[in-house]
Amino acid sequence: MLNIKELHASILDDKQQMKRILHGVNLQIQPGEVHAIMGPNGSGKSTLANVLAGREGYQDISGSVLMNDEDLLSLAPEERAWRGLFLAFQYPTEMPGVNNMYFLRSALNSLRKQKNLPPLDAADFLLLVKSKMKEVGFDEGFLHRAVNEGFSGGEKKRNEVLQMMMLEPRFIILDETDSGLDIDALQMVGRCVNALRSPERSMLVVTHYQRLLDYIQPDVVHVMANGKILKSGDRALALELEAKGYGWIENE
Amino acid sequence: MIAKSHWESFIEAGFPARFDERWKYADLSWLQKQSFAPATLFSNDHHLEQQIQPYKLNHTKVIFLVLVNGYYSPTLSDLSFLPKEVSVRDGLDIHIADGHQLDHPIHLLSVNTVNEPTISKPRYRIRMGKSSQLTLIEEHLSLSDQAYLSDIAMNVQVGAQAKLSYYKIQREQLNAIHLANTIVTQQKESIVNLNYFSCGAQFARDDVQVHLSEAGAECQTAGLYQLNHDNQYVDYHIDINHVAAFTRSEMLYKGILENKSRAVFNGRLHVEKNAKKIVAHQANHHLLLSNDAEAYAKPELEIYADDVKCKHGATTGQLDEDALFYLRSRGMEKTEAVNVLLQGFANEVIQRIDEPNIKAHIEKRMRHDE
Repeated sequence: MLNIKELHASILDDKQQMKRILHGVNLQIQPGEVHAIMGPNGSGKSTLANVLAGREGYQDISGSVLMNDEDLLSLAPEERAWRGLFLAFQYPTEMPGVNNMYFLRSALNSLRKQKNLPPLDAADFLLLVKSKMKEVGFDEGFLHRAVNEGFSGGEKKRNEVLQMMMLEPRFIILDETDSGLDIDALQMVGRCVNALRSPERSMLVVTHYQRLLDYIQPDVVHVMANGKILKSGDRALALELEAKGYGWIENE
Repeated sequence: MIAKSHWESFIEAGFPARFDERWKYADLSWLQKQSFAPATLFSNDHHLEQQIQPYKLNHTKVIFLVLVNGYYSPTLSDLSFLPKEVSVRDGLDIHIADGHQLDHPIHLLSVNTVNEPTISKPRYRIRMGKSSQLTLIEEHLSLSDQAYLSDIAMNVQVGAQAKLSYYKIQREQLNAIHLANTIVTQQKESIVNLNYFSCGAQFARDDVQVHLSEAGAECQTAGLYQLNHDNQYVDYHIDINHVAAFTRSEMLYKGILENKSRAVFNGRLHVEKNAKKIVAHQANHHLLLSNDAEAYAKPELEIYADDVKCKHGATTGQLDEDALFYLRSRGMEKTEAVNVLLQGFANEVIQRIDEPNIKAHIEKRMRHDE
């Protein structure tokens, strides 16, 4: 499904110095698999997620990323979305004046258009979104608010999960969706993600802590540090990291 | 006599120039390039009736006043919903009796059909009695490509506890020069809502003076201007004078500028010595969509009273790249994502329009493709 080979990426820092963030990432995710990437702050996890989704501003991107044998890096962000890629943002953007309902419906209909499906009318959309809102714990007032504006940290993450539920992507990247969530919200994320697990759908879960992995059981756990994947294993690796910290892997 | 002394002072002072602070950014070069003949009364009303039909408000009964080239046209106007408490003389002198609340808005449509460069100078006067209520939509558009100049003066007197909702829509063609001078005087506890929407003309300038003369008077004013042509220019000078105590005012002006267009916003607050316990907010935000667009924001606060609450804020920036990426990552094409963000920016002003039909009318007028 996703095949990353020797992926490099840099940014220009505040002093306009080129700083390399990804130092040759290699990763293969098969259909139906859930992979978790763990690692300390600044290890490049979020950069990897953003480069995959197509955020601008990264320099010297090299290596290759194939999604279903198609070159992902040459596609615009919306084209990646049309092919089923979805990034749940670590810091979702506030958009004053942009209504949630309008935003969700436009996004959904953009994807439907690519699949040659007719746009969903207001009534059908409302029916669908209300059932999904219930699952993530939003009340109806949510639809009339502006996208993420004045949302608490938890509400922003719920909104990411709601969009994931609505758009039903084929490849899901969760970028620290668990950070800032209380136990109830964490369980909700776990429930929603598990509901979407299927043999055709793959996921990449970026997280600091292993606690989200209690709810989303990954098939493979990777440890990332200094822009590289240093170690891969099964769930036991996540538990070991939780017990011992990241230091021992960097020293290995 | 008054007219004469105005003329004399004009002859003395001449046209404004760059050294005049209030005209500092205005490019008045069109004054040299173009001469304008006085507009004359238009007679061919029959053909026009069909032409203006599409510009009427949908689903709303209105008192429809039509001006052609600055002249009131009784045949094109429709006064069938005019109540007896309201008198309209020549279309331009409107008087509302004490306590009367109009059921239907007044739609003042000003069209230009000139076939040579002309100047028109319409004058409006609106007097609102005590506790009266009025919704007024003033709309300007062009039915010809010819250069012309409108020089509009409006005087509004708002009686105690009266309520005015005013919407001005300026959507003229790119050879039009639009100058407007508005003076609003508010008595005790009156509430005035002034909303400006502008996307046309080569040069458009609005000078608005509000006098909050008596205690408890409140004025909320907002504007949305969208320029997307080279050398298009818009200029707002909003002057609010807090003369009395316990008065409130608010300014919210937002501009979207594309290509080589320019905008000026000068919001001036003047709080007189005895105007205690007043509240005044001023905000002005510009979005620049090209490197050649220019915005000048000039807040002025002159406060001579103690114990007042005043704040102001101004921003000028580009579209939020993070927001753009967010929308695109959800499958929206770049042009659609840009439009969603522009609409979001404009919505803060659009959402202030309470009446859905007027809101729909204005949203349609502000769209470039309509």
